[in-house]
Amino acid sequence: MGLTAVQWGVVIAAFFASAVEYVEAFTIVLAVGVTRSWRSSLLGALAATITLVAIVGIFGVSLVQLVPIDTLRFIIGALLMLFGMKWLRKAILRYSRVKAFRNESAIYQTEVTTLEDEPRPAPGVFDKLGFLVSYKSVLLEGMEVAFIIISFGTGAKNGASNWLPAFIGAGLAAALVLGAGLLLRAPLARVPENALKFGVGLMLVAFGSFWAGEGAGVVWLGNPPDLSIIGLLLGYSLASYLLILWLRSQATRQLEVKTVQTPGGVQ
Amino acid sequence: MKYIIGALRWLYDFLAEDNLLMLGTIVSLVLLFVIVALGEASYAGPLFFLFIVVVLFLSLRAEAQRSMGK
Repeated sequence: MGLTAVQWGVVIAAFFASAVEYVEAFTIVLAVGVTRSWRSSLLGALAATITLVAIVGIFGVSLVQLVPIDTLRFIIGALLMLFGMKWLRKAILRYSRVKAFRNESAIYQTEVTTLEDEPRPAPGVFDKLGFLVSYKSVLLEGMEVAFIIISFGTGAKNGASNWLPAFIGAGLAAALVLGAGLLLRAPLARVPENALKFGVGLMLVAFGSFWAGEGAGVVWLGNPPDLSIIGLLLGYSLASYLLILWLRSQATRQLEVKTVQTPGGVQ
Repeated sequence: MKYIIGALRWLYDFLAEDNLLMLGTIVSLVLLFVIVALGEASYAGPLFFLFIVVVLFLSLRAEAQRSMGK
């Protein structure tokens, strides 16, 4: 398959971004399946997937056909930046211990407890609650994936040439998460979700910066200019690392101040 | 129509969650255009990178102060 370096980057970014969101959605689908019914849970997930495919189709096609390519690249870059910055910020806060790490097992247990408290439908009656909980979780988690795929798909110089890499990445992630989930029948707590989210945040911000710059008419260093994406990725990684170190030192200093202020603390 | 409004509302809520971060990113993107319009297209990329790092720093500092109860 003759993919360019940028297209491979799109495959990797779409794969990891999708995998993280699928793992989160799978936790809820599993909780609904185990506590309510597998039929309503899987139907809810399927209906949400169809909705997401429709969103990608409608928004993606209309963006490519209606918006000039430079404007489109800027919009896409801006969208990737907005999503990526949120992911990156959250990841930095988690790795500097300011925010707690996400724990799929704990989320799964909470969801199971909540769902078990709800009244069950009569035998033979379709479980609407299970369907809705499953539909909503897959739709909400998948919405970010949908926007990322639209962004990657429409972001190339030649309008539609990144659609295939974006779909390959997202499709592989879906197959992998679903396969592993069905095999294990347990929340995928061992997936290094926090680390993945960090990596994806960096990639989204790097791609977003490049495409927004391309749309605005920036002259990038490097030949071909696509090489600048690697430079941006390294630059943002280094900046994030330094920010984590700084935040950790802030947290430590705050802890020391509190220890001193506590009666009986070290004076 | 109901679903389109729902999707737009979700996008608005999503973007409005971290005001400083979102506003800073949007201002950086506008500045990127301004720098290119001023004819400094080769400086625009590195400057944009710096703006984004500063925005990230400011947003993280605000969140850290909130979390640590300063």
